[in-house]
Amino acid sequence: MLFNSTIFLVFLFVVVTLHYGLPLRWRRYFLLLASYVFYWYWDVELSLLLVASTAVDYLCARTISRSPPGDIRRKLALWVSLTFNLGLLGLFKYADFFSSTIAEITGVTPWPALDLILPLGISFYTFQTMSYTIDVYRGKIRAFEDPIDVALYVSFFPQLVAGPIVRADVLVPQIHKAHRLDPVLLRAGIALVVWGLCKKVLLADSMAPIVNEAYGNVDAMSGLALLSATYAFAAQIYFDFSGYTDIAIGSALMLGVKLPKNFDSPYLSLSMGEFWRRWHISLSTWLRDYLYISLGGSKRGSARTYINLMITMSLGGLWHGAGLNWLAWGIFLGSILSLERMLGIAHRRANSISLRLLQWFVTFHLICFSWILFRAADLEQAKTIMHRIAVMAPGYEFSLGWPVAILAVLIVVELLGLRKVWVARFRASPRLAFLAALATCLIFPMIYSGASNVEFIYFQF
Amino acid sequence: MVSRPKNSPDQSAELSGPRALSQAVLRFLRTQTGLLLGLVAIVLGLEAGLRLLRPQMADLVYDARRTGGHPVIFSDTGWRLRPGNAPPEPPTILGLGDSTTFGTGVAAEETWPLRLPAYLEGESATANAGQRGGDLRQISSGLEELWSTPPPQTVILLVTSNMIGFTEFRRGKPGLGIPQVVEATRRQAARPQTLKDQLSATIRGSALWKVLNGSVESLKYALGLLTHRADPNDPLSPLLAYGWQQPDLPAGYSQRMWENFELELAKLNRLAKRNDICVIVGFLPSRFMLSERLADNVKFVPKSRLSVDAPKRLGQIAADFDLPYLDLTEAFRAARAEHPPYTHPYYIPYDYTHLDAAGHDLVARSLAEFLNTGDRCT
Repeated sequence: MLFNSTIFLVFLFVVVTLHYGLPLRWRRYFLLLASYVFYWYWDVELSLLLVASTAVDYLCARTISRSPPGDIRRKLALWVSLTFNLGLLGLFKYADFFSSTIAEITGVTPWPALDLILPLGISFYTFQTMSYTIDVYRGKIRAFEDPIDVALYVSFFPQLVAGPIVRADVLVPQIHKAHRLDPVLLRAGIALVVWGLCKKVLLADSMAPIVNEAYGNVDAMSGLALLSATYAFAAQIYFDFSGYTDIAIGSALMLGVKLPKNFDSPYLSLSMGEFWRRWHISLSTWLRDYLYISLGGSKRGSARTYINLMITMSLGGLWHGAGLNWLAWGIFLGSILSLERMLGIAHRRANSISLRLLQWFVTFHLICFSWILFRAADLEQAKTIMHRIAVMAPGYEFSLGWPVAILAVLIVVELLGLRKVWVARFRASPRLAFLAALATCLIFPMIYSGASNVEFIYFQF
Repeated sequence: MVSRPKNSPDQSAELSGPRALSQAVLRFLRTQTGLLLGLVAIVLGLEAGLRLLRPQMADLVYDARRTGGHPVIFSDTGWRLRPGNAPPEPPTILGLGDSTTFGTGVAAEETWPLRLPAYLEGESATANAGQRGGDLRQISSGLEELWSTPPPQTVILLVTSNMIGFTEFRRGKPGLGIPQVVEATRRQAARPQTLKDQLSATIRGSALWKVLNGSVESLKYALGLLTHRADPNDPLSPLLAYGWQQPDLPAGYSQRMWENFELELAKLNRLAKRNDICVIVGFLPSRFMLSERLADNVKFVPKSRLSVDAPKRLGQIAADFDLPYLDLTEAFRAARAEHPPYTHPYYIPYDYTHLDAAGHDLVARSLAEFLNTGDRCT
């Protein structure tokens, strides 16, 4: 079920209404059912993976929790959980990639192409369940006794398919506590859903035709057209993913659950390190807590820190997709982060405004450069795009105007903090009918008339 | 971020379950009745205002059946008839074309073929043989059979960019013949109306709905949510006749389109010559080609991507066949210049192809002037 569809808006209305209409003891069961219905709308059979992941992690976490420290069963249970979740990812997401890469290098195909459908949200819910078992293993939380808690943690529909990746100790207690209908939270939730829909429908999707046409016909496009499309993609991916996140956070808020923020004005960053702390925060903190720190973090000397950064970012790149361009994207980010750390500019802000502007300009274009690797169909195409932009190759022209205008809107909205103003206005005013009607009038005809039928970019991960 | 502010006036936080819900609904109805009534009043007021000030919004924007609410009656030959009128047997002038000739959105008596006698010198009888969505092959099909009875003296073919595009798009594909089109339209008209149909017709028939629909479509084009991009696997777009540039379209597609149109026109010309009929070719421009005003390009056609001067190209083809040719572009520009800007678009609102009644009248007048000036068919 797409967040930018009429059916989701109806679904959300029904779920929120029934949720508060039901007796307290039934609510968790109802939310679980609603979450599975949400997933079943896409596919029923593949929801069995959700069940399997829930069952494995419930049992593993309980085993860890009940075993005394030092008991071999603790480690064994942890490894079962990690092997199962990473195995799922490996099978559905990476098996064909590894097979074709090995075949390309050695000339021998280790196994035939499986052509499996990538289950929706698998990258997100496997990371989420792994964090649960690891947290139990590390003693940060106790295993949940009730399997419904684990099942809801894995499948809670607002953040099931594209995050934010939430920790169990953040989500589950809130589901237990979310007893009362709180009009303030409800209004804030509506505000965020409308805000997210505006981002997705009016801004992200309006960039999609430019990006699709340019990246679909790279050889025919001029360098300027490809640059324009890259700016367009920078706007599209931000509005698309942060729009999705706003709808997710808003939907959860309407059910009384506060999800952590996933974006913090990333395009205002003055370094790539800062960007990575502001972009897809739930993933970057996951990678930091469960991978970078597990590898030793920055505590084992400079050289090891750089290696850890490279490993973390490369795996972060591969998390997004199985392809050499994703790997190159991760390596590029890891290299820049290492370089910034080496030069000591990761946390340093220039004193003068002009230098800050320069810092921002360079950082923004490094981000855009990385988006070429992110959006290109493969590494070869990414190289072609970079080459054509670098030599300003002649070809089919596109205007820079529209993408730059949208990016300017983005920067202004972020600088003025309009999202906070919008949400605060809704929270403060019980008579929100007028604002809600106004926003709905703006956005609903677009959704209803099928203008926004472009899937969220992060759904493919 | 979402903590409850102090002194919140909301009391419903203290309640839960079905009681809270029913109380909330009741309170909403109690406190917001004025708002609901106000909204209804605004909707009705807007509808009334539009009907009073811009009646064309209610009458002329084409609806689901694309007739603007006007009845569509066909003769057995597929000609569009005035309600209650039999077609002239045989007509001296036959208007050929696509939906712009058929009169999408206007009444039969307002279409240019049936307006033509009013402006022609001397007696004449005309018939409207326009076919909605027709390409030249389809439009010409059945004419030979029809002309075995006394043929018309003159055939006026009004060409649009749609017609040229369709001619290539449908090449090699079976098309609907005139009898099937007539039968389908009669069947649709005879279909009993359910309550849902009537409700839908009422909503879609309101001026407010049509304005909202048109505005949203226009906004979608403005934002880029809708584009004019043609499907490379199935290219069909009225812009292709204007040499629409798109990198992934088959090479030379626009050129082939024109060549095929030329072949079909050659067939029609041969057929006409065998029956001693004079063929006159007219070109109806798309509205966005008439000026640089935004009001003439509400679907935001990126004109920098158009590479073919369509009226000029058609003029060359007509000259090759020695056919009299009238490009209506200048006639439209001149007529619009006589009125204050934006008051006489001559096209249906939000539509860059189909003419309103005044537009049909202008075409009839221009064609009559062309025919009245010297003998065009010698």
